[in-house]
Amino acid sequence: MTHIVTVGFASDGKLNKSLFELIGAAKSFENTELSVVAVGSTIDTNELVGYGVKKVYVVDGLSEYQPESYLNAVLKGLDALKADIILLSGDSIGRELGPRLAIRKGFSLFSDVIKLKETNQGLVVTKPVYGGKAEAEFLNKGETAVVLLRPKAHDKALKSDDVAVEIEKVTFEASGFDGLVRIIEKLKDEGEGVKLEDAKIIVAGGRGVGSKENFSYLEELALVLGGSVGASRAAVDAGWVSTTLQIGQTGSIVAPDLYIAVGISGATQHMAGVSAAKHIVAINTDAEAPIFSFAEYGIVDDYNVILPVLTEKLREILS
Amino acid sequence: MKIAVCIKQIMDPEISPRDFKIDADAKNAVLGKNPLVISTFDENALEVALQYVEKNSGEITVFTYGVAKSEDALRKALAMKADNAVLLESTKEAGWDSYQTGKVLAEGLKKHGPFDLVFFGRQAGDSDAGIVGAVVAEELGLPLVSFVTTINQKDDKVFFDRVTDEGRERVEASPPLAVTVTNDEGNTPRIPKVKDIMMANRKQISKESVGELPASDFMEIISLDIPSSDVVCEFLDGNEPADKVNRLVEKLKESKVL
Ligand SMILES: Cc1cc2nc3c(=O)[nH]c(=O)nc-3n(C[C@H](O)[C@H](O)[C@H](O)COP(=O)(O)OP(=O)(O)OC[C@H]3O[C@@H](n4cnc5c(N)ncnc54)[C@H](O)[C@@H]3O)c2cc1C
Repeated sequence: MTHIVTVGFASDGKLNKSLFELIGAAKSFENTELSVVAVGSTIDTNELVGYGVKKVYVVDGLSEYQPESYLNAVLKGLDALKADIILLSGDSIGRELGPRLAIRKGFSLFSDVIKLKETNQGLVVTKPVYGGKAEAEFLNKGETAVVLLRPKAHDKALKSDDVAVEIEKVTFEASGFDGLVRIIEKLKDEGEGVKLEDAKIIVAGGRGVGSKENFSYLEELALVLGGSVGASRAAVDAGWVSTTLQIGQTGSIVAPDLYIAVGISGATQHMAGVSAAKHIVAINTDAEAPIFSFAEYGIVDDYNVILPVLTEKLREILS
Repeated sequence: MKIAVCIKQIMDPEISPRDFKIDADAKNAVLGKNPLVISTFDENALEVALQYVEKNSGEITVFTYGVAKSEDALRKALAMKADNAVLLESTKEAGWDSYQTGKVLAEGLKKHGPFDLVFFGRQAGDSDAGIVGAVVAEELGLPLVSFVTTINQKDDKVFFDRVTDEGRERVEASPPLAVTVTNDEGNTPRIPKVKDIMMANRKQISKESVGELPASDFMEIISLDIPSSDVVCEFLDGNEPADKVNRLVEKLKESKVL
């Protein structure tokens, strides 16, 4: 019997959606017991009914995310149980806390995992390496393994029954480093609106867009489509858009129905963020650009010429 | 402030997929004629440290754990205007276990420290693990501020701007600290001047041997592959831009995204 523990966060009372991706991944294992460690405030454990979760360890009373107190709270929750595999989402919280809790407990650690399976030798995980140009399989040689799953690489678990979950409250008092790192304010940024992670349509621009001003072509198209604007790292580094718009392995991982890549070459590090997109369209002057090995539809042309025509046409038919 | 920046030399992560080859038996990428560079986010980390020192004050020591030729990465960091460089020299390329790398770096940092701020890139461009910064933080007993883009100081308070899935936020934290850096428009690495490259070549680098590390207790790589894509792109051609656009719109209607 493999005991899989998924870790969820609920700083505003609602459990994070990616927790259900973790449960989805855990369910592909046979002969397992599934538990949840939930950290946050006024956590509604009813949300977990029906997913095959046996027990929930609740560490309540932490209303806002602060890294040091959340780290200690998860550790406290893990102390209450014996896990074989601990799953966390590789979102910004998971990537911050996962490695540290593994190291403190002396567990093995695998990050950015896209597949995992139990074998005769033990747990085997698959993760992209060399910026996604290759994929490696690693065998876990430690006893317990902490695994950070790449967001959106697994489908969310579906509700299958109404069996109640057992709940154990874990008491926790913040201490130690808790006051040393303090989030003091959220900073306003351009590109508010629909979060990229949730957007159904994304128009993304790269170095080929050429300037900050020219991103207005992409904004107009996105507006007509009711979508959001994203970018490659090169467009961020050029100073044309905010880093919060970066899509890819080290930016947002997105899963829109339609992804329109404008002046983006299709580096594996960028494409790692869009592998869950349903339809990819690429507009690029270079017919040899790698983006065309990922795109379903391609237009080889200058976007300066194509985008205004496309925006006008869509305005006609969508209004 | 006494500042350390940990950097890693890797095969250029920006090479085209055509130039990327693997040795499936050795389970490694083949360097071939590809260039070696400082891993991108480590350069961003050095840039953030340099900007901090320019605005305030401090001394920067760069550390790397690697084989002899990693010295080139340290020379480049010195040319970018880091003050000192330490090579924790191994006789063999580092393996996949980030714990081991982190522990070696932590030992080096202890010996040359203590440091007020210890910087890392958020992840290396080859292993893509994002673990080393956290290992060192734990080994040295330091709190960690991650995905930082900029550092500011007001009186004796240090503020870190960072990026999360929710957007940007500002964090207040007191050194000593470990910091991992992610890219934004303000920390694009500077390009060293020719005169500084020449100066850097004459600088002393402190070299310490760490020998060869044992096999990992935690993990073993069992396969390495280049994933294949089965997507065949349908190119939408036409004489006029409007023809291409019309064909695209038809396709999008067929696939029901419009
Ligand atoms: C560790 C690591 C992590 C990374 N993480 C990310 C990440 O999360 N996201 C990310 O995006 N990148 C990431 N990168 C960077 C990535 O490797 C590429 O450098 C980057 O994605 C390239 O951006 P680009 O396609 O916009 O630019 P380029 O590769 O320069 O491509 C520009 C394209 O525009 C086309 N073009 C030029 N003019 C026009 C025109 N007028 N009309 C149409 N097309 C035109 C060109 O043909 C070209 O194909 C990472 C790199 C590393 C090392």
